[in-house]
Amino acid sequence: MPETQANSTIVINGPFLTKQEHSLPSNLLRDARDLLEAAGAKFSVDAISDERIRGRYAAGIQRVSQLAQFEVDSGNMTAYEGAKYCNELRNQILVETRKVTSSWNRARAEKKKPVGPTIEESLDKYSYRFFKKTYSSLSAVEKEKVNYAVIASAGRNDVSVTAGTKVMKNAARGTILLTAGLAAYAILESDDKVTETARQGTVIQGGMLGGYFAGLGTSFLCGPGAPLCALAVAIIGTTAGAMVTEYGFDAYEVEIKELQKWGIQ
Amino acid sequence: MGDSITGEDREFIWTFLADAFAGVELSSEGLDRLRRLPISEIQRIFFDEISPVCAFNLSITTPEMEGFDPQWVKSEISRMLAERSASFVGRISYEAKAIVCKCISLSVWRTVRASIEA
Repeated sequence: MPETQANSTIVINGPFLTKQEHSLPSNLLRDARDLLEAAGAKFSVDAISDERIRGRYAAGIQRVSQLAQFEVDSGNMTAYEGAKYCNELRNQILVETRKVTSSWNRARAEKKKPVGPTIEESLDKYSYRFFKKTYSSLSAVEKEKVNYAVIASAGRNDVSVTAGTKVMKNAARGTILLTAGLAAYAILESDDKVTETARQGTVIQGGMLGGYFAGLGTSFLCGPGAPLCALAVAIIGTTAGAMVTEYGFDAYEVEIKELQKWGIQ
Repeated sequence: MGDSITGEDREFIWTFLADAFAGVELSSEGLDRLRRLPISEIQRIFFDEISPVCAFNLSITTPEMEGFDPQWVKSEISRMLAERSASFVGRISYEAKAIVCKCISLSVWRTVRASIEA
């Protein structure tokens, strides 16, 4: 092979091998699809859970209203005491409900309404609505009307709850369909369908587990009322969980196949 | 923006229709006032101004069920409109949010429209 030297740089002339094929270290498209599936599964499970929690919250609020109404009608407490009791219990239900809400939805709710209203805020809201003035400036009769309004509020109908539940249900269904479609496609196009089915299940479960652990750390990492941060943490957690389980599954694929042959039930 | 809607009417529509997202029954006095305004303009205000601020109530676990604070509704919509016209990014962000909110608010609008036309 002839060699020439120019300006202290070695230049090598001669024939070289071209049009070589190089394999990528991993299947990027397959990995991306798996991570999307894991994220989709996590968000659909969250949406289904949140939809149920929303229904329970609404039922709890309505029960409190009915209970207070009964106590006031029975003469066991005054209308003002009933309104105060309702307000305290509703705020407690709000706090407890948020504890079991998915991290992203909790952050959204906290951003819009960090804490429940105080009794004064609730009374002023209805005073303004009925009489266009604050509660303290109302007559005794007007105050009584406002007290009853606070007790009866939210115990009337559940239109917004039903409409909202439909929204959440549809979101969950859409994500489930996407996840199931991607998983089904991956299994159908695979030569070894049994192993691919096991792989899909493992990656999705890993992603959900990662998302769950990330959710536990959301309050610490993002603080309250930061929905974008909460969403980012959930995605990162789900992705990390899916990647770890996928790596583990691929690393032990031979052993897993052998275990499958054993047919342990 | 429609010329027949005054600033006062517009704020009334904001606070009155925001409560539709909380499931509060719309009062007959308020509906009578709405009937005097063009329905196309009410629809535009509902989807472009109220929905992006209040539609979150349809998808959180702890929804507002007693109606929104009117002052909060006014300040939030004013802030959103100011951000929308402040920059190109603000405009894009608003448009994306408005499309999503429009999709999830359709059933609420149908209920509101039926009440107005009843």
